[in-house]
Amino acid sequence: MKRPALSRIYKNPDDHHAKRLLDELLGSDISAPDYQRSMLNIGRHLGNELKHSLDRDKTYCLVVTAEDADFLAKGIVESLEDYTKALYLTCFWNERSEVNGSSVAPIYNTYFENGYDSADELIVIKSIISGSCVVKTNITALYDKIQPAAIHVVAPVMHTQSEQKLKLQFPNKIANLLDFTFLAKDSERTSDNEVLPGIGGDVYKRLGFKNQQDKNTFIPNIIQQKIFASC
Amino acid sequence: MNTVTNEELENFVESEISSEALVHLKRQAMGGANNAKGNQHEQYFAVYKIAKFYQIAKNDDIEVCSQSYAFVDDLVILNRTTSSKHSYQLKDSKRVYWNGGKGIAPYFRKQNQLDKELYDLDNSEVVLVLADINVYRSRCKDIPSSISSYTRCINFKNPDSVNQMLMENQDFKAAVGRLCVSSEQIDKLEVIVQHLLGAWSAFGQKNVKISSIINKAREVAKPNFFKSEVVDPDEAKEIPLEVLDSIEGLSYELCEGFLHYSYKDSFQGQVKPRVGTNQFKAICNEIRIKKPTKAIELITLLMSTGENL
Repeated sequence: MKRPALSRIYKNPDDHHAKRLLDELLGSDISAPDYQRSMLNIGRHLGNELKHSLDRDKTYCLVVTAEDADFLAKGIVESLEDYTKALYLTCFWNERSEVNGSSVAPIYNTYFENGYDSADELIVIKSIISGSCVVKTNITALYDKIQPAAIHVVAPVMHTQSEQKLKLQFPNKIANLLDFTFLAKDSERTSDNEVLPGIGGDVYKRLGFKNQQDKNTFIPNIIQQKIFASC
Repeated sequence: MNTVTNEELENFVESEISSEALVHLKRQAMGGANNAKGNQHEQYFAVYKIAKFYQIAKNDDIEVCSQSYAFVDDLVILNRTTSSKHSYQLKDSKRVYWNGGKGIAPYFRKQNQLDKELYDLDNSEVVLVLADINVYRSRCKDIPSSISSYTRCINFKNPDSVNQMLMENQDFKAAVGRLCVSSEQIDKLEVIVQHLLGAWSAFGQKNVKISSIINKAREVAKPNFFKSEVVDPDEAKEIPLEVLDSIEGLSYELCEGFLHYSYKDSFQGQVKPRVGTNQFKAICNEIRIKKPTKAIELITLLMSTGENL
């Protein structure tokens, strides 16, 4: 049964395809493989939306998290791979926790595809943006290495305050580089910062991971193919 | 340095300075306490100074206090070993002046007088900490000559977040970085800052030794990115080097008590548990038992927490 759509604002109310894709994520009985497939399809759709903000002559560094790499990010890569001059993949394994009442997400592992630091702009992909802690951490880790001319943040669903919150994490010169591509914004959130209806709950579990620790020992196929294929 | 009660302080101010000064002192103590709550600028500055003083005078007996009963009271750092005191007044405003109706020079003068004559300190420095760079430049230029021998200004911005502070303020980043296992990685530095903020707050921000704040933060830190005080020369012994060395393309190094690894220069990581912990030993044992021969098998083991092995 689908959860009721709470206070949700769609980026484009006429985009029925986006609505249907987002609704698929809310089904409580959807299996992990089906949820993964829905995320892949959302990625393809978001990738097409993102084209409006990209320049075919530029090179891009994709910034993804381990849990999103094989699904949402893969869909975006499929839409963009022949569209831009070059796409370089980077992947982060963050561990989110609360310290002194603030969210932190230190990075324990990274994958940087050769050439990533020559990219013109960043494309930061995340399945849900609530407190924006992970997104902030990963942009910060890459900013000095790349000095991007723009930072495109891409997510199916964002909390209505996330954009402002993320901007406050950076000096103005970096905050001004941020632009956002999303399908919907939700204004409700639980005390644990879970956006409602968001993407239907804890993304780790919905994608089939046991928990955060489990996803942090997982190396996405998209990365395995790039570095471990011959090992 | 003399030990002085609040009553003795008030008597001194009233008799040696003026009754009006005593009224100012009491009003300031009241207002300061109200403003202290949630004052981010003061919190960040306190963490900066705690980290900095811990490094430059680690073995000295140094106390730190916020909103002390004083004329310049936002942050006071008292080094009992050297009989010196640094009193900081923080201002995140464009309207800050030395003289005139709301001028702050008289407070600086009175504070120095207290430090020298009542507390009998050898050194007293009174510092105006300004968030706005333009106000800072202006106030640096017009420090009144009557207080200039013990007064200085510094610029310390008041950004919206710890992340922004670490990106913008290189002195802050360096001070915190000296406590951290990865001094250049802002994701780790942010965790250290949050632990220091938590420890400073847990002590009530009153007359607490800097070493106690650092020790408290280190003790409760989870995740813990504080540098170890003691380095075990035998720490590398438990690492299954023969397995790591057998994987082509893998390089590794021990750094500040953590094992870092890199595969083909594109995949990099750090084993989560510190070398020497039971969790780290569990990961090493698992590697010895499974004897992985493929990079991905070994790296998957290195990525674990060691808790469920």
